Amino acid sequence: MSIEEKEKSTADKVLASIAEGRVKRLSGRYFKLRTALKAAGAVVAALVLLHLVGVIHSTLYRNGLIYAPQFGLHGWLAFFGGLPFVIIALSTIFIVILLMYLKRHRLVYRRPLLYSTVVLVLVTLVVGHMISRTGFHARLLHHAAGAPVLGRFYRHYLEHRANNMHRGVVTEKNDGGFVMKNDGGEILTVSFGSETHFPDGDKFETGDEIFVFGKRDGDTVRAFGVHKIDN
Amino acid sequence: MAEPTDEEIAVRVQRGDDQAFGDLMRRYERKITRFGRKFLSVDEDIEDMVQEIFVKAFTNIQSFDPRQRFSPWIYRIAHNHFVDALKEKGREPISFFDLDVFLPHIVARETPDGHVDREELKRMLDLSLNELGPKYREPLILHYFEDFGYKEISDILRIPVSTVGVRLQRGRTMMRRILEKAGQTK
Repeated sequence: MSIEEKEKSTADKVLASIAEGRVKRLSGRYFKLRTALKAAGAVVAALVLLHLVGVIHSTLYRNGLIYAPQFGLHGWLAFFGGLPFVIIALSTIFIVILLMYLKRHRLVYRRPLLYSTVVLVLVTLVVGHMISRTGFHARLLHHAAGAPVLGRFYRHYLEHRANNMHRGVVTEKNDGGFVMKNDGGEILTVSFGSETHFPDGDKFETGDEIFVFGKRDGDTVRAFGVHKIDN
Repeated sequence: MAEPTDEEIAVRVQRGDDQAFGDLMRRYERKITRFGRKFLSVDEDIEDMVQEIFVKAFTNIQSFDPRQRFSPWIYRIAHNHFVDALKEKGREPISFFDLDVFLPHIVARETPDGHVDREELKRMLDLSLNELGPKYREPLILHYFEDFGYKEISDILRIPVSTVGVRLQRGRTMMRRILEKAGQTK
């Protein structure tokens, strides 16, 4: 058989299959629906990702870990040691899902994937931060803590306490420190040393809400750092 | 009267003119067959595969955007089909995650090859294709035998344009080493 005859037979075979109805084209509506479903899936993934970032953000502000890096090397170690790794891992999964969706678009695949990854992470952090600053996630965490299945998950992050971070209110000033009442209602004596960092200055008044970073020994805390909480 | 473009024919197929699809098949069968033979390094089963590729193309013709070029679109279908064939046969699996695609590269811009260099490269490719992995073999085939540019290869393989350049560079280097070993270079 010559090449032309061979070629003719391949085209003819396919055309015959089409004519006999064994091969049919999928409708335009099918592809539009598929595109819409994929886009909807990507939107859901993006919303879940923003939600997770918001939970991370709220948790870090609530337990004071966000301020720990201000207190030097000890603070950085406490920060990395106290991160909510489960939620960070979940967030990473959703970032990968979103990248897999975005990678189908020319704007994304024509450039190294690193660029899209960085942009996606930055946008997520910025938007997640903006949403969280509205107090939305703090309120959501309180409401969701009572939910039947996810409640346990949310309560864990609501009540999450970072090691060596003590949140409370100054009740009494004294030389070389102050006395505070922490979130749990306990009275702690906080003492300062040469290693104590004061990012917001070292003047404290009764009633000031503060985070104290330092190791607790009984009812005393030797402070590595003190941060005043803005209202 | 000028011949209709591939994109014009594809639009006719989308509007229901099934016979017009025959024109597209006749235009692309030799090219896709050649691409498949060089990429898979086989002769048998290739006609069946080409037929399956055209069936997929017809089935999904409504997903083709006529504002884009038809050629990369059908080659993308062919690429996916041939890669699946490689995976099924357990030959030279292609990795799921490739650092080449993730990281940026500094690569010389695409420049036209001189006529003599290109023909020599094609001759060298024919001698060394079997020894090259699919990751480097495919861009070389698409560029030197199918005459696609970097951006079109990027669209077919869904990899960054800079990665196309890097793989072509590395592929050419590997090819020269293979041929030097075999004593085939001038």
